[in-house]
Amino acid sequence: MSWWPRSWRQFWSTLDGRTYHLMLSARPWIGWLAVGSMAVVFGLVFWWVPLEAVQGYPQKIFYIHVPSAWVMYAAFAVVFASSILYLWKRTALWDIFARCAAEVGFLFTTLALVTGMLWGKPIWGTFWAWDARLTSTLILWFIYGGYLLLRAFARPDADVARLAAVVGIIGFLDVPIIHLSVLWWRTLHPEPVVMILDDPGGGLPASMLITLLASLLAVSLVFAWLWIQRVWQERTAENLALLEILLERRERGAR
Amino acid sequence: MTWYLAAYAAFWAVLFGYLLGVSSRQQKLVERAEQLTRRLAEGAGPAEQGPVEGAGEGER
Repeated sequence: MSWWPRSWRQFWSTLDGRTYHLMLSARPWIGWLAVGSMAVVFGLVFWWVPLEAVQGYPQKIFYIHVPSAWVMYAAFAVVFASSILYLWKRTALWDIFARCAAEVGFLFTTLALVTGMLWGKPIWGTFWAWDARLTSTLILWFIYGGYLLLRAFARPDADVARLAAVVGIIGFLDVPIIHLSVLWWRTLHPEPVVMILDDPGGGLPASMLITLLASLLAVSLVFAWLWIQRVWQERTAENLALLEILLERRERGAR
Repeated sequence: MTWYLAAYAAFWAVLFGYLLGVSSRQQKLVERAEQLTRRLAEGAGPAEQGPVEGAGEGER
């Protein structure tokens, strides 16, 4: 049983390595699936799904707005879990996972806010209202914007990574607040409409539900590809920085 | 209709803008890896020469 790890430390480092290599080998497949599913989604949105009777065309923004918000939740869940694992195990890979998920999550939060504003204008008559869900999403945008500024401008050392992990964990507390805000407060956003559990006939019509689920899958694949790509870039940059230090030492030694 | 098209255009513009940034980082990494590989090869004897781990991996 030579493959069996002899200690917890070895177990975790084997798991880290395997997770990373699995991600890298899945990357091209995820990329092509993302492109294919995005093409299918745009076919469904533009030519197949019927117009909603009350809102008309602006309702179609739903098929990019909701998946962007869903990916925003997923990305910050990755930041949350990776930050906990980094604080527990102190291996750089978990910090890279968190950092890259925060960056891509910030992108999708921006997309959710921008598409939401462009949907709000024709339906609510305004781009922005200080509604509970909008405000809590804007707070999330600022939290992770701050997280990214910290990562961009502070010296990349273990103290900063630890502080960022704490921000990543605390920031995630805003995600359930965003999700439940429509139930806790009176807001302009509707209560859940996708699936209504206590009313089997309620919720979205089948064509809208299929289009939404396809879009959720496509946008999630885009997120996964971007995240893996950024993780690879960060990891490679760290390896190259290490190689540069070794080369400088060798060149100094040779002189 | 205008708002619907504007939202989809904004979605793609932001996503492509980010993709361009990722692609430019990729290009810089590949250039840096090539430069380090050259430095490694210049300083090493024939037996020591070998590829830089991670270099060009993103091209797959």
